[in-house]
Amino acid sequence: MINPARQLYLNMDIDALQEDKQAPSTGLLAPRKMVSNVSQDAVNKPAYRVAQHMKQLRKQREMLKNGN
Amino acid sequence: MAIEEQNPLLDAPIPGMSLTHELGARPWQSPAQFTTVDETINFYMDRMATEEYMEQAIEVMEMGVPVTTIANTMQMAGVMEGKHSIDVGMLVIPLIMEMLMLIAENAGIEYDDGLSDDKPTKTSDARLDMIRREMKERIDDVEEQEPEVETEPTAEEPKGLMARRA
Repeated sequence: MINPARQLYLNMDIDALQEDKQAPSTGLLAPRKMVSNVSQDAVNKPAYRVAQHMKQLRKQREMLKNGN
Repeated sequence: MAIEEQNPLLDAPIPGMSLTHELGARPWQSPAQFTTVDETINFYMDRMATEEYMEQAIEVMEMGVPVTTIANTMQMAGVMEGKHSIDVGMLVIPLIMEMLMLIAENAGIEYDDGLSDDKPTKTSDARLDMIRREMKERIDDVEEQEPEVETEPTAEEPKGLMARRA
């Protein structure tokens, strides 16, 4: 039986995942709304959400590796 | 020259075997319990965060079973139990793998992620045999350690014709 797990994992290019950038909101008139550079289309994709979760877990893993 | 096949064709399901049961009798033939990726992620995360699961996962990874194999088996079990569909399972596999690797690193064990190219993606029969043997030995050890329950000697029932019976 073929195991697709390896291919699926390697296809998840988490490092190239776009991140939301927060707009600097220092002044009173500064926009308060988050300006997202990620299209709504991408956010709605299930694979994108899986990748976001994976990124969080990988961060935790790297923190463990580095002894933080 | 005859080519020896590792998996004989006769082991495969017979055509139409899936129709030998009433439609809907199997869990995977009815609508899945979790229809979205988010629900499925929550299901697996809750399940994998338990102490019991972590202990079992660490044990299996310590035995040398690749993370890819465990993740695939888990999602297949989810499909068979009717928890989610196959396509949702495919999407969730990388996340299960990441979680398993986090568990392994948290426990400080050496594990095989199954991602290297040179290693076969299929767990060899020899390895599975070894695991089976190890598990059997452990079960035998536990059984040996269990104290034997002392049975009280029962008084023999009188067999004579004139004997009194209770």
